[in-house]
Amino acid sequence: MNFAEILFLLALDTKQGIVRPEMERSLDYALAGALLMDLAIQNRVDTDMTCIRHDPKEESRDPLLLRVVGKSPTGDGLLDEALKELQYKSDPRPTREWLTHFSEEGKMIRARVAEQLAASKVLEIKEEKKLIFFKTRRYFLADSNGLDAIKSRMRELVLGDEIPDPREVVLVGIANSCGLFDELLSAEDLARVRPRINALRKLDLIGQAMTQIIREIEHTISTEMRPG
Amino acid sequence: MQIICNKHAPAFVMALSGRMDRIAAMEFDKAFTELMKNGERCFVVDLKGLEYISSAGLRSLLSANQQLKAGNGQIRLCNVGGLVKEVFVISGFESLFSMYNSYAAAVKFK
Repeated sequence: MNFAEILFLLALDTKQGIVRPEMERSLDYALAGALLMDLAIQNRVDTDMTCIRHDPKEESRDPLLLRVVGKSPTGDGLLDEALKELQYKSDPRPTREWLTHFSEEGKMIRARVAEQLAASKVLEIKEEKKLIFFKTRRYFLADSNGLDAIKSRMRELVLGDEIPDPREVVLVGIANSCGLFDELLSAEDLARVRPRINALRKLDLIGQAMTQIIREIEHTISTEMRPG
Repeated sequence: MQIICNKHAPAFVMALSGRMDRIAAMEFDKAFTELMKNGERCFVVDLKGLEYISSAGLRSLLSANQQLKAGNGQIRLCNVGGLVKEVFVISGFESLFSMYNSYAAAVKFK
């Protein structure tokens, strides 16, 4: 499974077959981040912070530039389309800009990811008619083995003191963005290992940019909803 | 990037200079894997001449650290400065690695 597929599964309420309401607003940014992180792990894009040096004023806004470093296809349809889009701009662009760009295609990305999961028999998609003209999709787990293994590994990783490999670092960031650790760990354990989770998710720079955008969205929502 | 390797028993020293981007990170991975195959388990990576590190470079160092810890080995970094140090601070890498201010201190293994 690629990162976007794992993220989508983690974001689902698998009993109701829908995306959990608390994930609705952030999921598209998280999926955009998952695509970029997969391309980075597969050595197709790289990120750096050279603009810290080039323009110090930019530092607090967005120091992370993303560039394409490998153009050969990955073999994953969705990732390869994203890789093609990234090549349309020749100059390195801020990671944040690309996260926003791909999040705007969130509806299509969700559908494609769900279809890929259905094709590999992990997910079952059920279409339901709503009113006369509208159809809605519900997603149910057909095979939970892969997801259970990831959950178990994430739990082991944050409760222990192992050094994760780069792929696991990305998974910690993804799991954290979905609130998975709230579900996996007791309140006491979560409070105890929160500093480790924060330290591990920081190790991936694209994950950091993704988390920052999601936090800003959550902050905006909570500000908008605050009375008065 | 240039990698200069030499044995400073019991450590194996890899001195990196220049820019550690994706291509250079792959070269580092290759050299490191070869040394691991030859039985080296104690590494000092001297970053004195390293001017730049990208995410791919960070991932290579993380992967080396993870492999060594799993194989009862260790990796020490020394002379981390400038932009590379800034990246280490932002990414939290400094908390995962044993860092030394000088080469002499890093190669002293008891």
